Amino acid sequence: MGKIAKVCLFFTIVFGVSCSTPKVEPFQNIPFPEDGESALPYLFSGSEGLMMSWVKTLDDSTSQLMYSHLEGATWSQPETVLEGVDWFINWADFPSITENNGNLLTHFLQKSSKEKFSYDVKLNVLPKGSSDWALGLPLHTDSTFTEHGFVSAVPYRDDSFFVAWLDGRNTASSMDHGHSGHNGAMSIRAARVGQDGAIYDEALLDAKTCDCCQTTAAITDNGPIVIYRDRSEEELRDIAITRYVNGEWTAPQAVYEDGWEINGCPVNGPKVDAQGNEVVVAWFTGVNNKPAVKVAFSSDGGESFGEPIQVSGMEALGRVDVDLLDDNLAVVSWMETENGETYLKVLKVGTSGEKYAPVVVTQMDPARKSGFPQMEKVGDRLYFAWTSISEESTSIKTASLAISTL
Amino acid sequence: MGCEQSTSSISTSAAEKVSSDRSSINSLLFKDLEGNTIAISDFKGKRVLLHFWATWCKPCLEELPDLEQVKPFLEKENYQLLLVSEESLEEIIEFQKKKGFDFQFVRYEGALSDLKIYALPATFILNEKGEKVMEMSGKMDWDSELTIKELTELH
Repeated sequence: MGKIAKVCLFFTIVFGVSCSTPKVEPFQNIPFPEDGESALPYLFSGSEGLMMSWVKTLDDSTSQLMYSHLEGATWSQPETVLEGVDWFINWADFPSITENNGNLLTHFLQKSSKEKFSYDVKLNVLPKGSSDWALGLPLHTDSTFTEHGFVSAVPYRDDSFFVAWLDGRNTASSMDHGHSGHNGAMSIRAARVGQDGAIYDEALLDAKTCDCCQTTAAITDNGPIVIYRDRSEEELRDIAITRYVNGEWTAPQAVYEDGWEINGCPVNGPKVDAQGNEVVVAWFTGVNNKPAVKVAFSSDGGESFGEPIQVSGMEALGRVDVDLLDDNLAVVSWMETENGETYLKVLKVGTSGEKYAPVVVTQMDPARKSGFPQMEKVGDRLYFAWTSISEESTSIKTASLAISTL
Repeated sequence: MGCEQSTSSISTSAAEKVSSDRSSINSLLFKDLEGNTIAISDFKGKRVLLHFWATWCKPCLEELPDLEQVKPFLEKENYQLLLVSEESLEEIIEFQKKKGFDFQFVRYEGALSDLKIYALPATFILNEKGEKVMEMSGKMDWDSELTIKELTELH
């Protein structure tokens, strides 16, 4: 077999893309730095480059929160934040890592009672220059045995973090067996977290949100913005934004009124990226049972958005990610089924609606356990991480791509 | 009875468009809680209510009491109810033991997206010939007169 053919075969196997013409695909595989059962990667690019956290399973009950830095083209030796036997591990609601000028913040979900869906968000901080993590710090101020999760954390000010999360404090007892459902709704809250883990300015952003979708947040020139799947009295589950402007949170408003009315759980949250007051949001909607991934741009810090641009084909699964580029462009990634196979795709899209050809990153298992693929931009490259499923185990794959190839 | 929360409704337009995929529905396989394989074709001659749910899905859990209440009536109308989750058998068994619902629980080992299910709960109604004649998305008022009437008249 010739060298080019071998390269094609390699990329066909690893990334699920075929080489109908003999050319070297632009993806660079980045070997994952350890063996064993690992899943739920989270990528973050900050002032100190690209970082990744993930969950390593040691046995039936013990999990470890791990992280690593990208050094050149390889991951650094993995480090352990902490391990536990009472964590809530979930394919859609998983730990993260965030960095701000050398200060690190990670989070995990810890069960708060024997009930399955009773867990708290716990923070871990590693201030710059410190060698010891402060572990298991509280985020929310309630003590209810309810769900708390779907955390979004971004760098804020010089050494703090802005954190948003779904908070089930008002939902107590709503999941009992028996006729119920009259309890309060899931809410979304936010706070500033200092480098030492201190909590400031906790605020209620929306008292009724979708229970089961990820939140996303960014910092604009005007202040923090939070985007999430809303839940109206009529059970419309469209994507909403609230902004912190002049010391107050604005009333939530739709990024776009898709009109997806469903009293159910899509488990498919939006993603946002911002530079200055340029904002891009990507999301999934299943309105009229026609699944679609859409992107919308704002040039005023999220106060208003242009018409959405559909980037997906007919059988989108969602699980989106998005990054702003320069020159009124963004890149969006999403999962989509095509001819019975499911792929992670990425494409470049412009504010005026122009779409470039989508590129397949990898073939994916469409089942829930494949999780939410990650995409981050560092310099002129995009980095991807996803959970690979085999009959025996789950493992993490990472790869990068030059943006210029899109 | 019935929740104060609004619920999704049966989609007649969906019912009109989904009658052509008999072969794919009939090829669906599930695992019962003992690990035995269950096929849709095992229920030939019965109407099948395939109800997709999950233990983590609040709207799913909220509607199960109502669905359990109308189950005897639907069974008299020649319905077989299958409660389908893609979670592990251990998770489903634990849930059943804890909550005690009287349903036939099964596990679907494929991806729900293969069935074009994008949110839970979701329900497929198959007629006696194994044809999908209706699908519903979201939490339902199972004990409402309208729902029961539609399910009764559906063939």
